[in-house]
Amino acid sequence: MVTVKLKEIGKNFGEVKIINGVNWEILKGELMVLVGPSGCGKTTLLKIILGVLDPDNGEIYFNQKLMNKVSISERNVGFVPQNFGLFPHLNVNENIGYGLKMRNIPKNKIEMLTNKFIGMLKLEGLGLRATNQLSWGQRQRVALARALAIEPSLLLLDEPLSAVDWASRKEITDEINRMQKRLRITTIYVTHDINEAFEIGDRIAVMHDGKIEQCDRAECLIKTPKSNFIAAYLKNRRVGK
Amino acid sequence: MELFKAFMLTLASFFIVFVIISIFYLFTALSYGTLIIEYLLSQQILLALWVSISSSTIVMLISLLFGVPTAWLLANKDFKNKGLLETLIVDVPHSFPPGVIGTTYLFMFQTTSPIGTLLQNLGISLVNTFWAMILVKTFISAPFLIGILTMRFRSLRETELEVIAKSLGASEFKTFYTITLPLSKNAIVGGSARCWARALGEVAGTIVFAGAIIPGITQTMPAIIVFEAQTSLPASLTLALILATISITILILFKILSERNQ
Ligand SMILES: Nc1ncnc2c1ncn2[C@@H]1O[C@H](COP(=O)(O)OP(=O)(O)OP(=O)(O)O)[C@@H](O)[C@H]1O
Ligand SMILES: [Mg+2]
Repeated sequence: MVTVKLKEIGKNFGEVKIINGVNWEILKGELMVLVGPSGCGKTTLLKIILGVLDPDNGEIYFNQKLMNKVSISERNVGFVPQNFGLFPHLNVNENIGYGLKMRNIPKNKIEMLTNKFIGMLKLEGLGLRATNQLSWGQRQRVALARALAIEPSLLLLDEPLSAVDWASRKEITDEINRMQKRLRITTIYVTHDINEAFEIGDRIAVMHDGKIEQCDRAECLIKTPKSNFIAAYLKNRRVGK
Repeated sequence: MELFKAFMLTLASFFIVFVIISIFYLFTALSYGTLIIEYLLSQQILLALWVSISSSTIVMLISLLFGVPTAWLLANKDFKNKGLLETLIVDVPHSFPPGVIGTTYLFMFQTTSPIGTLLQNLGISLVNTFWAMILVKTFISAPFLIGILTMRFRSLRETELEVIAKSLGASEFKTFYTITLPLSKNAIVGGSARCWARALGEVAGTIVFAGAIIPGITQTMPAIIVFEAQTSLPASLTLALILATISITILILFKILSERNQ
């Protein structure tokens, strides 16, 4: 479990500034929601924290440790991408146990831990299934289990509901909430849906044009929006849940 | 919609019939039945078959050894002028007539050239040898494997499965071994098959640079077929039939292998 701190992170794709001086702190054990319109740079920022993309400038800290030069495989970050990214040639058990296997944990221990997460995420009886024989909600939970199994110090969820039908959404947000509170893993939850953001987050960071425009608790965002953009953006919210 | 379907199906059918007739017309040469037996008992032909198959297999293995890393580099690393490099490595060799590359090697390895002189001082002579043939065939055939593999590795990169593997703690090597390779099995088998088939069929480069006349060393089946075609059509056809049967059988085996791997 870590505190994540970003200092003046910037990233260009060619001539275009996609991330434009992000300063942001996510506290230990916090469930942080990153929300913003499509194309504002949320996934890009997540990939910088994950370590797939190098920022052009700025610093990334996990606790006090500078992470810029730490390779992706050593950051110990659990990542659930927009499309889940399950390994199609491995079954559910093997997907969940993948990270443990890479850590050279003995077979029986992997089996034990895999079963623990199968139970925790209600995937009983599906261990030997191929991943393309699962419902979207089940795939979602396998991806989550796989990320959690490595006991990540940070969990990144990129629009975890984007492929899930409306009916299962509530169930999955509850699941994520419950899991996060139970394991208290520092979590960044990305969405472009402001309603989802308000339902789930401890704090909410609103991103706009490559910057974190405001990062606050929900009620503070509503009471004291820092900019016209935020005030306007919050108007999209369904009122009264 | 109906018109579109009819259009696509008609053109596809024409083409399929064209290819199938081209391949199987050869089998009407079965009428030269007695010649087949005679050739299959001839030591020269058996040696030529052996040279053809063993050289193509060696070319395939060499192409795999160098082609997998080359495709991996082209697909996964981003650097300046990569597109240009890829064109040079993958596309340009396709456009080179094998005879041209044979001539180039003849020039490159002649005893008056720097490389030729160097090899001569080391006591190595390449011209007219088995390895000369391997060299030409590899240049011609490896791009078939590399092209297919590069495409596969690139589409795999887009899925970001390798990134996820790394985020779960896999090293570059383990990612390659546990994700990239198993998910590229079909491309590897299919690309190897094409590379192998191209090497088997290559003839002009072999004739120019390796001579293709020493039985058991450089004389391949396609070379005999080409020579025979100038004097005796029945002989040439019969040999072609034997070679085609063997290569079709081996290509079908490759196909079965890749489908079983699915
Ligand atoms: N590899 C790339 N090369 C060039 N531009 C890119 C690349 N990846 C993303 N972009 C651009 O960067 C911007 C931000 O993309 P990003 O995927 O981070 O948006 P996002 O906030 O996650 O959007 P969404 O909510 O739709 O997922 C977009 O305008 C996109 O076109
Ligand atoms: Mg995104």
